[in-house]
Amino acid sequence: MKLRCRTLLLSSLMGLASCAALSAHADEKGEKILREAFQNLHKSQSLTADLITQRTLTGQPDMPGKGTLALKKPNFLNIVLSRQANSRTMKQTYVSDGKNYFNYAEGSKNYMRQPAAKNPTEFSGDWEGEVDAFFGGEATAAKYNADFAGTETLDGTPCNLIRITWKEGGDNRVLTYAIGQKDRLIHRTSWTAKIDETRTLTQTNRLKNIKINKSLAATMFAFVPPKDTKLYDPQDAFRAMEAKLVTVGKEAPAFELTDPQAKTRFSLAKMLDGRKAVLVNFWFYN
Amino acid sequence: MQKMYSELKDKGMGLIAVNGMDSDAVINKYVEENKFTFPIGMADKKEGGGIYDVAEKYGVSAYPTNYLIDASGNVIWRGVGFNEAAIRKALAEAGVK
Repeated sequence: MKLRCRTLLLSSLMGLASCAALSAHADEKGEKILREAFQNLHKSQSLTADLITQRTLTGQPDMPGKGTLALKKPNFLNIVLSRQANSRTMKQTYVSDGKNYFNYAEGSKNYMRQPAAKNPTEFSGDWEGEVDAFFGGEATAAKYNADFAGTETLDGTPCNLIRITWKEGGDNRVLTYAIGQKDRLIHRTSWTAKIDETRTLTQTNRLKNIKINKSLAATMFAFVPPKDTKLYDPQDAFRAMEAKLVTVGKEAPAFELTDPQAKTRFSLAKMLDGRKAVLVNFWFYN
Repeated sequence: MQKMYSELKDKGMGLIAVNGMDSDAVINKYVEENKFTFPIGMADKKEGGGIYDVAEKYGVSAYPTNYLIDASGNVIWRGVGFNEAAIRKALAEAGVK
């Protein structure tokens, strides 16, 4: 699920870039507001906020989430997000301590680690709009072809709505930012994408209690592995796979197969007859 | 695999390529195109698809997985992936060389 959304948003950004290149009709007001918001975020040394998310996919139960977000230049990040799916809560933690990027799903025995990106606009997740704006700055905004789409008051904060639309694979994609008229901060992002003929995916991220340039302690961006968890090692998966195989020295289980051409049956025992050794190769073509 | 088999089949090597996922038609076409001479066997599919009996018996969850079985029917070597050198070594130890 996460991978798919990442791909979607990545391709969305590429769609935006090509759209901007065509630049059919620029809405100066919309572009100015968006550029200012991105400049404002780019200048900020830190940002903290409460994160309230909602994901809807046609035919699927809604997936609401809430958590916290903390970002610090140049590439520190700490995001905790608990999402509800099928009456189950999935809590995910993402931390960049500047050197490494950690990802941990509550309840899992392993956590993931990879080198942190210098510029963390590559971090994937449902908050990409906000993270990209903070770390990516004006350069990101420059790629957009934005339109002013009215105003809306979010919990007492008057916001300008800036809508970015582009076509991708013949479908209309829409990304809407709600930008505070006074603080020029992004208070909400919402994007929609048509997955196929019948299904539409919508992701809305609401940021509350946004604070910028607060001094944030380094400990806030330290990943402490939860009790009884360890770093995910791909070798573990390989070893687990090997452990299931029949042990060397044991008797090979008997079996029969059908010849796909002659449609006749033959057995391992028959094949072994008169031979020194038989290689049994498990494979598939497609 | 074909090359190794052609080389060693007269020296006592047997080979069974176990397939439990493709259709007979796909396999026959593939065999014809590549002029495979080793026996390919289609495993009985389980209802609802997924892993098939023989793979389950052998604990196979990744492909390719190879087992070498000696004349008395015991597993003498196994490996996940295709490592020709390792297979040849195991065959040689079983007297196929």
